[in-house]
Amino acid sequence: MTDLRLSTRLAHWALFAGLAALVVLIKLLPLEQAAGGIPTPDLLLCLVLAWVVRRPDLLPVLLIAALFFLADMMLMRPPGLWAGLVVLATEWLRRRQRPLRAMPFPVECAMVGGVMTGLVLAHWGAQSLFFVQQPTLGQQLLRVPVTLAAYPPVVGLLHYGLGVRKRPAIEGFGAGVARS
Amino acid sequence: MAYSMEKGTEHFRPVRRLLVLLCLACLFGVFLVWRIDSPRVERLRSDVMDAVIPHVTWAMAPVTGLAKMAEDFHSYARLFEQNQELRRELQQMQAWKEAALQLEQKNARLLDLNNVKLDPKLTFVTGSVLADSGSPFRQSVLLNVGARDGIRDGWAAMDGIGLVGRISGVGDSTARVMLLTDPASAIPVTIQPSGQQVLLSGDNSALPRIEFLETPDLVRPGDRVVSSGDGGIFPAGILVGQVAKSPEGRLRVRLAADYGRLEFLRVLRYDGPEPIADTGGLVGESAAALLPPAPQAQTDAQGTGDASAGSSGND
Repeated sequence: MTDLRLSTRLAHWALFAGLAALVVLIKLLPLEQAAGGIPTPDLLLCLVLAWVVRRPDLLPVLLIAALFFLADMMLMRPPGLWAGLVVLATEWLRRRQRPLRAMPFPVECAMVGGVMTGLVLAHWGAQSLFFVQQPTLGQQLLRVPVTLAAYPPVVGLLHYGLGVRKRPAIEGFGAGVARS
Repeated sequence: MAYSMEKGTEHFRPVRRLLVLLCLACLFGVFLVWRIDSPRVERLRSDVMDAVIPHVTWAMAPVTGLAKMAEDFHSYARLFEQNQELRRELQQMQAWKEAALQLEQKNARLLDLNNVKLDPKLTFVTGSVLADSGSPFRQSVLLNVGARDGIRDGWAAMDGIGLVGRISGVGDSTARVMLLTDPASAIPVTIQPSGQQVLLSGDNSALPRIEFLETPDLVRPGDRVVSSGDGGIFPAGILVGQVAKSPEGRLRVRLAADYGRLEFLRVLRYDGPEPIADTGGLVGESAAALLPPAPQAQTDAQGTGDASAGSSGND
């Protein structure tokens, strides 16, 4: 990690923070006040998952926690709960960084979909445990496929637009050492 | 090079794990605190909005403008259709206008006869919409007026035509309006011709539900729904919308306010009806003092009864 320059890392943190702020502000734009209809994708979640799958070393956990907590505050969610769950999910993905690196994209998509479903279920479960008033589970789960559909474009943006790519999978000689 | 990066993290692993745990504890702790002492955290939330939103409106305004222009441009495609439609509507409206003018004159005459004064206390503050809730499951908008302008929690907000929602959460220079479609919104309303008092509660759909309706037979789709003023939250008689029947047979309300374009909202200043503090001198001490003692009262009443009978007989 030390051989990555501080300036590179700072630039990536700033990039992520800027993108997250942009997503939240776009959501806050007073464009769609009419209720009902298809829910909009959770782009912030897409962004953080895609980034963690690609370059977890360029995204410190504190930054994720702070940004998601602010997003919780601004998007009228119960403060802290969603942020905590997202931190848990990113930690889980970080642990599986090596198998993820060798994974083809469709499999990665499926895995990310699973993580999203798990997140929504956990969020719903925690809120019902604490008797927080919330929309029905069906409405919340309906958002998962919409969000998952937005995942490939976000990955495309990160990969081709911003140069956040997966590092090559470890093969051959180094593999055993790295896995141990 | 990529491999050496992995090894570098090994030293920090215990420290990092501690950091993550601490972070999680903080986040879930805030959630628990919010659950226990919601108002304090909600105030923090409105402070955050208050600090952020007024500073980024300059960035949001052009984007909003562009999006609205794009929407308008989109509607050019249906220009001919729309024109036809508008013409038709205009014809109908002209008939309505005539009727309305006549009614207005009649109303003015009747009011004159009655010497009725419309409530002079109902003044309003107008604010423009800065942002919406940003979540598909919460229906609220943020206004650019706040405690600085004298806005208080619970006041009603309406657009030019009908009720839109109520103030819930006031910052220094921003205030949040919970729309009638929000799942947490429930307001007492009256259905107009039958005069039934019901509760209008939002459920994240465009048409809020009618609840606690006593006799559904008296309500027909198209009936007017106005705020009832029960509970002293809202002034009575603000137009809310019309009754509509959903395909599954539930009664809902089609809102009169144009939720597609909320740009400026009026916040009505209203402090509730004046509380009735005393008995008004009808019963209680003051009334009792006027009456003579009880046993004597009866005989007195008889006496006066006789006297009046006698006097009427004399006349």
